[in-house]
Amino acid sequence: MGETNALDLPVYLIFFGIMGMLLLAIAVIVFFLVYQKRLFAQRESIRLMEAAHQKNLLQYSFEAQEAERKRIASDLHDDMGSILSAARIYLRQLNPDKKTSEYQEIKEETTELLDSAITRLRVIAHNLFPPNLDRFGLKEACVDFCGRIEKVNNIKFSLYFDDALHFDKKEELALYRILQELTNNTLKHAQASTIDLVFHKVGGNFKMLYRDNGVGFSYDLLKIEEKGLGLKTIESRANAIGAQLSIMSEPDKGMTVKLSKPLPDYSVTSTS
Amino acid sequence: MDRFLAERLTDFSMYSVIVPTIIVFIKFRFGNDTQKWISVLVLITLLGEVLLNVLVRYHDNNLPVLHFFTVCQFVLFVLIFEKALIPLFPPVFFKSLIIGFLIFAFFDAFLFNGLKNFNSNSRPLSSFILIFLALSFFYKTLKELKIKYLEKEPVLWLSIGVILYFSGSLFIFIFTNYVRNSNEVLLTLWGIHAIFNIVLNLSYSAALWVKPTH
Repeated sequence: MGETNALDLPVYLIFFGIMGMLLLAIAVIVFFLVYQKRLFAQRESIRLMEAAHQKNLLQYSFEAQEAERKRIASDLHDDMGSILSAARIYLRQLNPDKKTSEYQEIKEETTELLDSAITRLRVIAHNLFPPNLDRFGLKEACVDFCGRIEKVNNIKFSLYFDDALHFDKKEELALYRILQELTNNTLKHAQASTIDLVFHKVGGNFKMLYRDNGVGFSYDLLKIEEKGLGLKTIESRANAIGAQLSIMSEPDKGMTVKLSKPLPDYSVTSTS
Repeated sequence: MDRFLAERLTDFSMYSVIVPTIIVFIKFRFGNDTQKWISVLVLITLLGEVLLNVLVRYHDNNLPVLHFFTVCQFVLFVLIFEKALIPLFPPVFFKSLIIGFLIFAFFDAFLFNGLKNFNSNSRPLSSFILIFLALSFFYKTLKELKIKYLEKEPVLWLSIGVILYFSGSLFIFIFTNYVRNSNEVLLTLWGIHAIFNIVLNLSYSAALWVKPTH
């Protein structure tokens, strides 16, 4: 009897052990199979969302391009077209029979109109592509841009640009366009009196800060389809240069836009 | 467990290795490298089953065969998992496992248990290590998320078989020497083991049958 009892304990232990291990093994296998499928489906869903987002950004890019072309066409037709038409009317009035004083008046009016056309043409060309950006770089282009905006609008720019920053042409153009778009938004909607603009280097990253003290808007509540073409263009341009963008705005709290991007390492290793 | 049932289960377990063996001959040419190694494992298993049962029928002690079979099975499993688990573990890890286990199995066969006794040290050790490698495969698969059609992956089926067989049989391996004086208990335990062995052979079959995507 004692011999039988001595065997009973390990037998039950063994059986419970076997069942326990088996149940644990089945649980692990089932968990793995279910979790793997779920993870995969999740990753696939994220991939599809990103692809759709990229497609949308491209679409917005085309829309922005068309809008820009339309604006240029409108500027050329409405501004330039009307000025040059007026100049032509004055020139047609010129004939040898006119008195010297009348001739002089027509000449002055025409000259004034042509001056205005040239000025207007310069503005349109400048808006299309700022010459300072290509010749002197982003910092000078920003200084020039802020100066021109301050001259014609009741707004004050505060600009800081870290001289240690270097960008390639593509990045400079993208950042300039982002600045144009943000300023455009502020002038149209924000009723702001000041804009702070900072370009600085933090560690190995470039950070840009744009902040206005305008009326603000509920950015977090905006759905994708409610975002204007300007905001979408900004996102698209930031994405194109591999920058992270964050926009923060609340009613009566202005708008703050932060952009950051890792900087390439231009350090030169020692050469013999 | 009834003696008759235990003996039938054991017979069925022995014959169940024929299924993956047939698949080896049908699909060997079309299999990838992993499946070719699994084929070698199946053939070694078949050889082991034949030797074990031939020796039993002559009423001889067949346990020495189990010592060598354990080593061969372990080495082949490690070689198969090595292909699936690099770079999670470096190649030197698998070489170390094989060499370390060979040394341990040698000591178990000639020093601890002896050749004519059940290898109750090296078999459980083999079980722990192979369960670990199978779980590592699961971990790597979840981490990388590279395999879309998991059901077409041979190592998945092998891992399922390894986890079920070695987890279920672990307590049998550890305690079999402890209960060897009771034939009834031994019969029951090894009858249960026969069921797990059938599952393992079925997992070999699935691993050989599937057509991997790479």
